[in-house]
Amino acid sequence: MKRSPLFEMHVELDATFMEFGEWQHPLWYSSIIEEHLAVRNSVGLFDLTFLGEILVSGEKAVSSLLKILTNDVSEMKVGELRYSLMLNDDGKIIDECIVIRLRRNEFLITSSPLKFGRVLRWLAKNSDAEFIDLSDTFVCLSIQGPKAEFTLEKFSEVNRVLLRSFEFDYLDLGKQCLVTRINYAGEDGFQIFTDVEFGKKLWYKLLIVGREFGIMPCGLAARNNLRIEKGLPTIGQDFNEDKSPLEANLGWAVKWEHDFIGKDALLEQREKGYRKLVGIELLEKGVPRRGYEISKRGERVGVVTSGTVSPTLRRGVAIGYVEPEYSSVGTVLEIVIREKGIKGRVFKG
Amino acid sequence: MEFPEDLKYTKDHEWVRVEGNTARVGITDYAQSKLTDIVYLELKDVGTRVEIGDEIGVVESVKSISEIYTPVTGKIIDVNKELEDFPERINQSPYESWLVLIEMENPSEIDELMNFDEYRRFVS
Repeated sequence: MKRSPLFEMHVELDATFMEFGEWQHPLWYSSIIEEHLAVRNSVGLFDLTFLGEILVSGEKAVSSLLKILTNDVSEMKVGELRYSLMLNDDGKIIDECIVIRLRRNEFLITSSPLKFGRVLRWLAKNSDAEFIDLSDTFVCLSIQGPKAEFTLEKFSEVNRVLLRSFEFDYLDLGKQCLVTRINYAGEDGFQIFTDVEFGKKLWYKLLIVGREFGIMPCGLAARNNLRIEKGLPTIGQDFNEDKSPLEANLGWAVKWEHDFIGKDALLEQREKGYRKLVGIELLEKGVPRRGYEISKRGERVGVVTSGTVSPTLRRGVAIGYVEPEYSSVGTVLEIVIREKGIKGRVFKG
Repeated sequence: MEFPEDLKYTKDHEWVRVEGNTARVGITDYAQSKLTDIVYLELKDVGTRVEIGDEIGVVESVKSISEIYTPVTGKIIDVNKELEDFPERINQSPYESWLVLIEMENPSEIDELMNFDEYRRFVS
């Protein structure tokens, strides 16, 4: 089992651990609900060191990334970041990545811990560019929530955070760190990349400096529930090299003007039609879970791939795939829980 | 971890308070700590007759589903309906959050249950 260099800190904080791919990682520290609410109302701190980081560089960087990613990296300014998908030849999603354009011909790609090995092999097979696996050199911390910006501004060298969403900069947090501004569950947030030694110190510093805002360390369970609440799909749960961006409601991350691996399969799929990912908010009491049937008037029309109860809404929320005619926002469906159809409504489709 | 001395306990982590010929049933501190944040509770209706070991309800947390079983045979004569709207109270005060009240058909079934000390050892 792999462990973050911050593992001892998590143990000190009484974390309950889970196996996340090859990683032994905090599932929660105090309470899933409290951590969830901290991110919605103040600020939560996450250790995301399990992310893989790959540096792609050289003259062939742009052309290679255009080939293997759905988004158009050539459009990106230096200083910008973009969410992109890596597809296989059948148009199915291998991984979701954040691409950071560090320099004209230098890109840092982050990849899910569940897929990193696959991504490296895919790059080796399909990319002409030079690339290095930098994962072991980085600690990645993330602060998410409405008070995230205030927390960063408490660092004396940071006067005001001028960074905009989906951009990065180097900020002096006691040491120069690469900081991206990115929200992945509906809140303002920052990801901070630094070396292992400083990363350990920074974890403590953030907890201290964020105390006045109510900062809490947050685990994978809260992280998962936060994005389900927003109807956002994720790798490993809602797609696992078995769904295309069209099916997973991620078509916005596809730029059709360039050629990329999987494009032909997508174009074909666009003609044929497919089950689509939706977010469903329950209208009655119940806890939707992965594998539960989605039905319409007793007829099976889909299946749940992620489910939870939202502490903010105090209602069940599910993400799943349904026949396209039931995917528009406002459609009322049922989720079958212990043989009873519990009413829900599509809020994201 | 609390183990009130005046209660009886089952292997499935329910507690029982004997009140005359009725049994008031809930789930223990140990159970709620394992479940973590409880977000859903569903209980059988008043009037349902249950036999020892039958399901009387379901409690769900974010991470798991747990059935609740009756430790005694009898008729459910009262249900804590309000708790279904605020299931998190079970985490906060498990011994005040009773679930059902059962009129016992066979009060000797209580003798088969664990006392607080036996239960404490059972969960350690």
